This record gives sequence, structure tokens and C-alpha cells, in this order.
Amino acid sequence: MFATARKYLTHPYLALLLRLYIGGLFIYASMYKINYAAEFAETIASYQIVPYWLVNPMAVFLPWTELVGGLLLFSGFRARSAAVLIGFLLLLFSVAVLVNLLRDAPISCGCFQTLGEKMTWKTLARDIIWLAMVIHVYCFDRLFHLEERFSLTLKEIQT
Amino acid sequence: MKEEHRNRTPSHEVSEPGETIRRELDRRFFHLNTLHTAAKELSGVTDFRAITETFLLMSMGTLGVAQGFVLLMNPATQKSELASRGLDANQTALLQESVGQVLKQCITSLPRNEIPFADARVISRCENCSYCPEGIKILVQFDVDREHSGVLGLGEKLLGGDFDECETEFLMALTHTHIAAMRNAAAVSAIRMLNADLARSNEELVELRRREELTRGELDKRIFHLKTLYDTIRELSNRTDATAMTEAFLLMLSGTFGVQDGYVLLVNKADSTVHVTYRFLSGAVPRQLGGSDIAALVDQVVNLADARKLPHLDAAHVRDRRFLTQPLLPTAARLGIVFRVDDNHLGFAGLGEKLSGQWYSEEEQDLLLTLVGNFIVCLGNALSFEVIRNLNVNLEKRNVELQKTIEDLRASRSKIEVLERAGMRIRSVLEREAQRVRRVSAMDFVTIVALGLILGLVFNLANPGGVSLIPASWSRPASPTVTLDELRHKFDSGDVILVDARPPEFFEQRHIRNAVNLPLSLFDFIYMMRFGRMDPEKEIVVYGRNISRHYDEEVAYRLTSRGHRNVKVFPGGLSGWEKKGYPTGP
Amino acid sequence: MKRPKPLSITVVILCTLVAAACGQKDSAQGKYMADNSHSPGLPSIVLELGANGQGSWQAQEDIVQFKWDTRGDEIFLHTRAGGVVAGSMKEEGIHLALPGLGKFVFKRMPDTP
Repeated sequence: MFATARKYLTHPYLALLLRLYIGGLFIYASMYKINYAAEFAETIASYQIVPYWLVNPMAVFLPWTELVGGLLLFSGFRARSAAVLIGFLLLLFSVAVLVNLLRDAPISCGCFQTLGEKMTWKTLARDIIWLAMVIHVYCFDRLFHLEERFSLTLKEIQT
Repeated sequence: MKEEHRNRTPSHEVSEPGETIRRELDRRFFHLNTLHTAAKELSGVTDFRAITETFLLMSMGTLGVAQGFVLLMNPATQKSELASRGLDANQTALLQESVGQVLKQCITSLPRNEIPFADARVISRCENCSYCPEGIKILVQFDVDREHSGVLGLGEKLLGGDFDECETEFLMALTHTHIAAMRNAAAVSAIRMLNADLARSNEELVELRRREELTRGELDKRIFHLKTLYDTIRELSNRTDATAMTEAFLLMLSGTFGVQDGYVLLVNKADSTVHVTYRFLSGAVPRQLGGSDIAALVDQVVNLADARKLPHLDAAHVRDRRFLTQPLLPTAARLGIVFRVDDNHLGFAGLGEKLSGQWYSEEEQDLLLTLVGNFIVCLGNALSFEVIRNLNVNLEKRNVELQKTIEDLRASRSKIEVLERAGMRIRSVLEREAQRVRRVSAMDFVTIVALGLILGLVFNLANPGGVSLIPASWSRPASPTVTLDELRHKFDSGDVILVDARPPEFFEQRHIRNAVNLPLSLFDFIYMMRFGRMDPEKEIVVYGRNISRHYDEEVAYRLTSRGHRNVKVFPGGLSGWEKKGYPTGP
Repeated sequence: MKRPKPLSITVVILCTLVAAACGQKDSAQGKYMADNSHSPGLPSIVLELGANGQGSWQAQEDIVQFKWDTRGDEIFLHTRAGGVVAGSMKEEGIHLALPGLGKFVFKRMPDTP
């Protein structure tokens, strides 16, 4: 039974599903931030972690990085690198959220929209769950990669 | 007449001496006369028996004897011949039985090769001769030659008395005459025999001559045939081309037999083709054949050969006039020969009339058969040669192809090697690629970050709602500040408007008491609604900053740029205020 | 196995998102006026929600440009400085709240369609 559970939990289709989910999530999340860079800058500022001279550049750069990472993860091109990157971002966000939760800062998460849900411990939990998903993707994902074109070709050549 | 002499003689014996002498003379004359007669009589006779008979009769008649015999013997063969007069059957039988004794006793032991010309002797008076018949008074033995010896025996004279000297003399003379006659007869018969032999030899000679002639003619013919055959073989064996060989053969046939028209058909059963070689001295034109005609001709020739059950390399005469004159053949033939080289190659040779107009002899027909036999052997060889040549040509072609194939293969191999190398390279690239796919590389992060950076920068530049990347506060003079104590003083006096520039959430959480929230992000709205009609001279102190944002500086700048002349910043912020325990809201 | 093209799927999803986001904009377009009867100190405000998400907030002679969008019944005004004013669309009009200033109810002006 444990083996069956393990089998389903580590199934590549699950990893694929999670990959698409996380990829789509990041693409979606990046959209608003790209569109309203000033608002995202305010969100970053509200976290009170980044030095003031870095806030605006980060607001410009981070959403695009999210978008690129999300697209790569979604499409399966350099998916593992993208997963690592997104995992890193998620870790960053989680730490930021944790810090602000500990500070009892009255800010909203700003994860998707500026005026989103208030930042709570649930936000942190959600981030951590997403992080786990990304780790799962990193470990077990191997289907529907744009790059698999090569590995498939390789298999064909080797046979 | 003899009888007369004999009868007269005894009458004179008893006469007087004159008479006796005359009688003696008469008797001698008579004897001589008899001898003469005997010689005359015997000279023409060649038969031994007739001579012997005459001898016996003359001796008996002249001497007046009633009984007498002559026994002729061949000492070598012991063959005997008996002539007798006046002897009964017993006596003759006894004589014939006792030939051996007679010979033993009577015949001289003279060496056979030393027989004198004429030899006779009175061997006995035969008084007590055991084997002689009763009454025989005198025996005369004589030798004619090596093969003939004899005994004359005479009985008692009719007149009685012994044989006197004169009679014995006469008898000896007569015997000599007889011997001479016998020898003569023997010679004659020998000559006759020689003649006969000669004639026979002549005849044989003539016969031999005739045979020799025949043999020579035969020999000539054979030589001619052999020469023809030899020529044929020599002529044909030089050639390896079937067509040329056929032409040469036909030429030879025409020459050998003196033929006007001749042709040879070579039939290939497998291809159903007919090759016609002809030689028409008569000026005739061969018939042209259509496709169906050729097939029919092939069938006919094959049937001919099959009907004769021809084995390989054999030929047979075709005497069917209907076939020989049928319209499918190039011309009407007098003589036809069908032949088979192998299962597929058959043929038919047809010869027309001879120039001499004569019919073909048996020998010529046989020769033709033999020639055709040689021809088909050579043809078979030529066909085999052709097959071999074709095989060789094929082999050569194959060799060339093989060479080409080998070269192609070599080229292909080098190509394959190149391709394999390329394949290996591609494979290694792909393998590397596959590994790279699974591998997380720093390059990827650099790329993604750089991509995000570039895209962000470009988009931010192009976007009218973009943000400034460099803090604006760096490029303008700092706003005047107030210290905590000053602010406390102003707070207490109530002459100052305290502006909290932080976001509303922070303001709502806690702020300096009586402060007004003018968040930077909503500055335009709030200012418009609340500060629009404020006195520009009124002192305003802005506070609220953190590590990430200098809200106070920004708001102060905006207020200044809106025309407020007395705007100051309190860098200590809420935390500084709170540390002193000064009053806070909400 | 035929592999779906992740990029095309992405494009489809993005288009759907954009279309969904744009869906309710049309109905909210128009000119509104705030009823400030309850707070006489405040000037009357004209809110104009134009096409392309552009809008303006006009009080007396002052005018503020902003971008706006809607999400369900909610409406958001995005300032250039990075602020967001959230409101809700109700039958009587658009309810907006400004920090420290309270609620405004904007009613659709009758001369606008």
C-alpha cells in the first residue's frame, strides 16, 4: 500500500500536473505585476526588506523573471532550471512573508494583485506548499518537455 | 591277227633246223612286230589302266597265255590296282589281299631314288609261290617311277611248255615298252595337270586383278571420303562462330557433292528462331518466312528429330519427299538430313540436285551423314564455345560491375564512416544535450535573470506607466528636516500639520497622534481632496520612511512642487516618536 | 505519442485570461459624479471611466489621470504612483473609499449613455 501511494505520489503525470499548475500560476502572477510595476514596487517596499534603491529595479525585473520562469516551467524548456529558479523565488517570498508575519506588518501579500488578501500564516503555508510542489516537479517531472524532442530523437537513434 | 600269229607259231616248232631258224626268225619278227604294235598302241594312251590292260593283253596274246595279271602298286601308299584275265574271283581277291606280301617279296629293295630308266626283271618262275594264283608260271617285276611299281604274272602257255629265253626277252622288252608307255603317260598326265594348274592359276590371277581393281576403286573413294572428312574437320574446327561454320560447311558440301542449291537451317527451340544459311548456284531466291512460319518450321524440325528419336550430336536422313518439297523450306531439296546438337539446337540440311544430274549414291549419302555428323560435333563445340564466350563476356561484365560495386561499397563505406562519425558526434551532442536537459546549470539562471532584466528594462522604458529605476531623491536637494525635539515642540504648539506618508495600512495600525495620512501612492487623490485648498504657507512636517522607501522625502517633494513653501521632513519617523513615548494614534 | 505544444497551450490560456479580464469593462464605462451631500466640505467629483482602461478623477479644476480595471463587481483605480483605490459596482453606482476620506458614491451621469 505504501508502495502504491509512493507510486502515485511520484508519478510523472502528477509532476506534470504540478508543473503546469506552478508554471501557469507564475505566469498569471507576473501579468499584473508587469502591468502595474509601480504598484508592485509599493508592495515590495511594504515588505521593508529590500533597500530603497533596489525596490524599483526589482519591481521591474522580478515580474519578468517570474514570467520567464513560469513560461519555461509550463513549456518544459529547461524545466528543472526554471523549477529551481521558481523554488528560489518561492523560498524568497516565504522568508519575506515570514519576516513580515513576525513583524506583524499590516500588509497584503501582493502576490497576485496589490489589494489582494491580507498576509496571514495561511499565505506562508500556501507558499510552502507551492515550494513543495516545485520540489516535486524538480524531482519527478519528465513528461511533455519541449526539450524532450532531443531525448526522444536520441532514443530513436540509439535503437 | 595276233591270235593268228600265236596259233601259227607252235606249228613251226617241230620242223627242221632251217625250218626252225625260219620259225625262230618268224617268231622274232612276230615279237618285234608285236613290240612295234605295242609301242604304237601305247604311245597315244595316257590312262594308266588302259596301258596296263593293253600291256597285259599284248603279253598274253603274243605268248599265248590264258591266265595273267598286272598288279600296280604304290609302295608309299600301298594302293594297288589289279588288271587280270583268266583268273577267277577267288584268285583276284587273294591277289588283292596279299598285295603286302607281293610287295615284300617281289619288289626290289632298290633305293627309291635310284630307279633306272627302265627296270624290269623276271623274279621267279613261280613254282612254289604261295600267294600267286594257281597256274601262274612267270612273274615280272617292274618299277615305273617312285610311285608306281608293278608285277606281271602270266599263266601257263596254251601250247604248254616253259617260257624260253626268247619269250622272256620279249616279255622284258614288252615290259620295258610298258614302262616307257607308263612313264610317258605319267609325264603326259603330269603336263596335263600342270596345264590345268596353269590355267587355274591364270584364272585366279585374272580374278585377283579384278578384285584389286575393285579394291583400289573402293580405296580411292574411301581416301576421298576421308580426305573430305579431314578437310571438313580441319575447316570447321578452326571456326568458332556457328554462322561462319555453317557457311563453310555448306560451301564444302556444295563442293564435295557438286550440288547446285543447298541450305542449312539452324533451329533454336528455346528462342523459336531459325537461322538460314543457303548457297544457291541456280540463282533461285530463298523464300522469306513470317513469324508464324518460323514457329511452324521450328515445330516441324523438332518433330522430325523427335520422331527419329535422335540423340544429341546425331543426324538422320530425311527421305520424306513431302517434307523436302514443302513451302516452308528455302527451296525444294533432293536430300535432307535432320540433326540434333543438343536439346535446344537442332538443324536441317537440304541439298538440291547435283550439277551432274546424277542421283546420290549410297556412299555419298553415307558420306553426307558422316559429314553432317562431324559438322554437328563442330557446331556443338562452337555453340559450347559461344556459350563459354557469352559466359566470359557475362563474367567480364560481372567483374566490371563487381569492381564498380566494390568501388561503390568503398565509397559508401567511407561515406558511412563519415556518417558514423557525424552520427557519433550528433549522438554525443544529443547525449550531452539530454544530460544538459536534466542538469540544472548556472548558465540557465544567468540566462533567465538576464532575460528578465532585459525584458523588464525594455518594457519599463516603453511603458508610459513605468517606474524610475534610480531613486528620484538622489537627483534633488534634500528637504529640510526637523528633529524630534523640534517636532515635539511644534506638535505641542499645534501649529504644524503632521503628514504620515506611509501606506494607509501602516497609518491605520499606528501613527503619531493627529497626523494626517497622505500615502505616496494615492498622493494625487488625497491631496486633491484634502490639501487642495490649504494655505501654502502652513508648515507641514512629513514623516514615514523605512528601509525600502523614503515616503517622507517623496511626499515632501511633491508638496513642495505643489506650491507649499514650508515643508519639512522628520526622518526619525514613528519609531523615533514612539521611543520617546510620545502620543500616538489611532 | 503526440505531444501537445506547451507554448500554444500557454498562448491559449493567456488569451483566455486577457479576454476574461476585459469582459466587464464595457459595462462600467462612462461618466460618474460623486454625491457628496453627506460631507459638505468636499468638492464634487466627476469620475470618468474611458475606454482602454484610462480614466480621470476631476475635482474642481484639478484632474488626476489613472488606469482602471474591473474584477467581478470590484473596480480598481490604479494611480501612476503605484496606489490602488478599490471600489465596488452596485446598482446605485460605484462605491469608492479613499483612505482618510471615507466612502464616495459615484452615480452615472444622465447625459452619458
